Amino acid sequence: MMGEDFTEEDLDAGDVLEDADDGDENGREREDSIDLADLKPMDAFLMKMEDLVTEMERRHLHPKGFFNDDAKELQKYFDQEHFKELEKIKEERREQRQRSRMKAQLQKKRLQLEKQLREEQDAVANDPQIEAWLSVVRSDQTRPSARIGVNSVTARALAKAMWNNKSLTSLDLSRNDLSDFAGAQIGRMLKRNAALVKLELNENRLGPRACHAFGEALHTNGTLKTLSLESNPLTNESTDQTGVVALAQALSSNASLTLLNLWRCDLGTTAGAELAKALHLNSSIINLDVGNNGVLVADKRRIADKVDANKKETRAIALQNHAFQEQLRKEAAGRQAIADEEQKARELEEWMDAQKDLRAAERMAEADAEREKRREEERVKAEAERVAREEKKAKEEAAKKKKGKKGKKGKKSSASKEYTSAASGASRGAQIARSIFGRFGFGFAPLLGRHLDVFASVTCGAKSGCPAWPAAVSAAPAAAATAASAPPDASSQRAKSTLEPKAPRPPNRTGTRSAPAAAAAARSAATAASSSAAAPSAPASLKIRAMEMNPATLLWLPDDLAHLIIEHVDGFDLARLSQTCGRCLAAHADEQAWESVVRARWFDRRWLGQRRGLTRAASAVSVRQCGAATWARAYRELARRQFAPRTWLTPRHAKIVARRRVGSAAAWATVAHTADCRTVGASGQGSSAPAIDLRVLVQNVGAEAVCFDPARIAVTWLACVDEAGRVAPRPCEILFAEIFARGHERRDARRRPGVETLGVLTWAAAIVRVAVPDCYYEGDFLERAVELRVPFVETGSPRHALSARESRLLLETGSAAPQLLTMPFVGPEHVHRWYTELPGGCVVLATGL
Amino acid sequence: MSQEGDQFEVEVKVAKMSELVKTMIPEEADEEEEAQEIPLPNVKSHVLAKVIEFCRRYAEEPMSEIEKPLKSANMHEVVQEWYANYVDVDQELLFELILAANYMDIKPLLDLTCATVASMIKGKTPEEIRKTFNIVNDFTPEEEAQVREENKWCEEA
Repeated sequence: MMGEDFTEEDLDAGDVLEDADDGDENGREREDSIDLADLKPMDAFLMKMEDLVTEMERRHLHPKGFFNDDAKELQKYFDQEHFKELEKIKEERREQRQRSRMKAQLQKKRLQLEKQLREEQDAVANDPQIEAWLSVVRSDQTRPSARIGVNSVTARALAKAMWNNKSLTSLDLSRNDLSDFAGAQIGRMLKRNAALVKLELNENRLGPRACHAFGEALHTNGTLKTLSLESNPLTNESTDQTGVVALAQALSSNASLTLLNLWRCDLGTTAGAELAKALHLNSSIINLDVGNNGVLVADKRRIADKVDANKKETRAIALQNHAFQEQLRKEAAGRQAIADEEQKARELEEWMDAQKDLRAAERMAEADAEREKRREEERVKAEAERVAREEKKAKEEAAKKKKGKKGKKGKKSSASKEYTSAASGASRGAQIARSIFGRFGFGFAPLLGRHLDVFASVTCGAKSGCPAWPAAVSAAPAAAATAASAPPDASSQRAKSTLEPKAPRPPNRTGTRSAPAAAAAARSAATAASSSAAAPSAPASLKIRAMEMNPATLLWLPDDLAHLIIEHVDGFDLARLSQTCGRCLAAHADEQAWESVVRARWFDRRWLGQRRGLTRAASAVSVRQCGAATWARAYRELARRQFAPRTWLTPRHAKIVARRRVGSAAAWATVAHTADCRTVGASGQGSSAPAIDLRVLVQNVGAEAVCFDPARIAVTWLACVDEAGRVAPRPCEILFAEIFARGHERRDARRRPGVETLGVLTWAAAIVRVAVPDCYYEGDFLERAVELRVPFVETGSPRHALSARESRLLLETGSAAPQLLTMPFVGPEHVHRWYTELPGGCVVLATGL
Repeated sequence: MSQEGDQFEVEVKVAKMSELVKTMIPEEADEEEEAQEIPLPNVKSHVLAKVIEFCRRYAEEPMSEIEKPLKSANMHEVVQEWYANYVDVDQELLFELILAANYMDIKPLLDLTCATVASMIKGKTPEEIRKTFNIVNDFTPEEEAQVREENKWCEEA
């Protein structure tokens, strides 16, 4: 390709060409000045007066009339004009010269390039080996690494051939006596080539030009990692250090080169310093040989330090990369494993589907056979009837003749009819049993007994039930066995469990069956099992692999048992259980479960006491009376009544730290959170000792007025270890306790001391400031808090008509016995969940909103 | 007699705790009569042994009635020490006990085992329940969000 097209780059590349110095500039300059000296300005003194005047007027001058003066004046202008003229001419000539020189240079370059090309072509033509090399290099068919023997001329050809090569990554041109120009050509090749990783040019005659070329190329090249220029006179016997400096500067911007060998390259001190400086900005070079170069020891040390640092860094990065790769590989392996499992599961499913279809087809065939059989039976029956009729007719005729005997055969035939209908009932029962077993497999095995029981009574009816039932049961295991044969590949994973035919359980819900009947059914099932085991159509063993999973888990419990469990949990747990999975939601958290939960919590006889009317009313409570459409919502509505009244005192994010209901009084305590969850003294709001503000919300949920005294609220906590070495609860020091809000009033600036009387369903909030020595955060206190006590009195009258004095008297003297509302604080495990520690030791409340 | 064919000898009084066994023993059978065999083909030997252990203990010291709903997730606070230790078994056996108690119709054992399962549910987050019972979450994200929205109220208390 380089034979045909001359690119501009070729022509610009003056540095590559062996151009001569630009010769006779000064000589030509002199020639010009001699030439120009012949040109003289016009002499005004030689002019006539009239000419003088016209000349002056042309230049807008006023002739004074005196010849001498005017001539002098004019002469000045003439001189000026002459000077300008001369300058212009000189300029023009200079430009002309420049142009011609450039043209000559270009011409020269072109000639030189042509000469070079010719040289190269000749050299290549003379050397078949290099010709072969060039052809494979051009067609990208080389091996990755090569050592090529070239001379300075063929090296140029090779460098040009390498421009677009992509196959050669390692090239060794050492000990070829390559000239500086050939080196420069190779250096320029690196600008274009993007495949070469390693280049060795040891022991050649490369000099500053090659260095410049390499420096320029390394700014842009991003693939070359190893460059060896060992034993080359790079500074041309220490006369020209610019090339090496350019090379050194290139290092500062190159990020791919890792090894640079400059051993015995005549670098000298300047280049050494420059190298050290440039290396400072480089982080890729991990091997730089500057030995035998006369580089200063200090520079050498700097270079060595930097190279060491780079080495460490590279190793760290390599380690990181390795770890990352490892992780990627592991992830990929994990994904693969999951995909494999999924594939397996899919295959299993497909297999199951296929089995299902197969079973369906079998069932169809059986049904067909059954129909056929029935038709045959009917035919036989009809035949028998016909025969019987004919016989009867014959007999009647005979009777007519004899008139004595009457046909008893009619009765006999009706008896046989009954027998055949019973038999067909049995076969239908068996068919249905098969279809039911086939559909459910053995996941529902525990339910089986009940189903059998039910359909036995359904299909066989009262009349023909007895003969049909054992047949149906005996058919069931056979059908189940065909349904539940597990796929071969998954058999190892599956726990083998033996499954005897389930006897019917005594049904808990309906209770219609008597227990002896259940026992009898159990026995009949056992006999049926043994009979079917003996039959050739059934498998020899009744050991059947469990199809889905172990039936004894929460999910696969029969519904009535699940309800027994759910009766023991409260609605909150049921709500959470229903969130676990779809089957839980559908099977366990249904309306029946919710109803039992609601009734257990609010309408149970134990809570309602022994009053008969009340219990009867409670048992008749409907879901509508609970104020909701479904029992689940009813629970929610009823439970909500026992939450703290939702006010500005109890925003959603405020955590209830203690709650209790005793008699008519219900109380909730929250913490008045500070912005950074610190105690009041600690957050700098006061200079006092740390304290915490508790808000105690007391509501009257009973039917009579309640009064309590905020000043009597007490808090205990695990303050310190006592003498015996135990941590015993101790009362906290209450700094103050006041009512600060009532009912649904907005914030009340006036804090009220004294006893508070609560009417029915009203509430009051007290603020209790508790001294908490050496507690920095709220959490510190809450972890150690034990309980909060609110003494209160039920006044016995529904209205709060009591005055403050009266209620205080009541509380102190106690006509009604004061009751104690003891609210345990929540455990530390909850407290830890509420607070989140941010980096920097800042604690915030986890609101969960 | 259990599923595997092992035999257990128990007193009539203890055996009669099971309604199923009670119906299988003829009315006229008294204590002094010779031992008779009762087949229980649905109950495995180790489960039956556990059931009989319960029945014997119950005959000596009846279990206190279990509150509904449970007041604590710790069975030791709900029933006597012995019964709490009795149901401290792995899940598989526990569920088999439930099935056996249901099949043999032993009310107190059924109550106790059901309450134990309930105590395992009590006070746990859905995720913890899933982990405890090895339940796979089969909700789609939308369904899950909806269910969670519906049940948000229970987190507020």
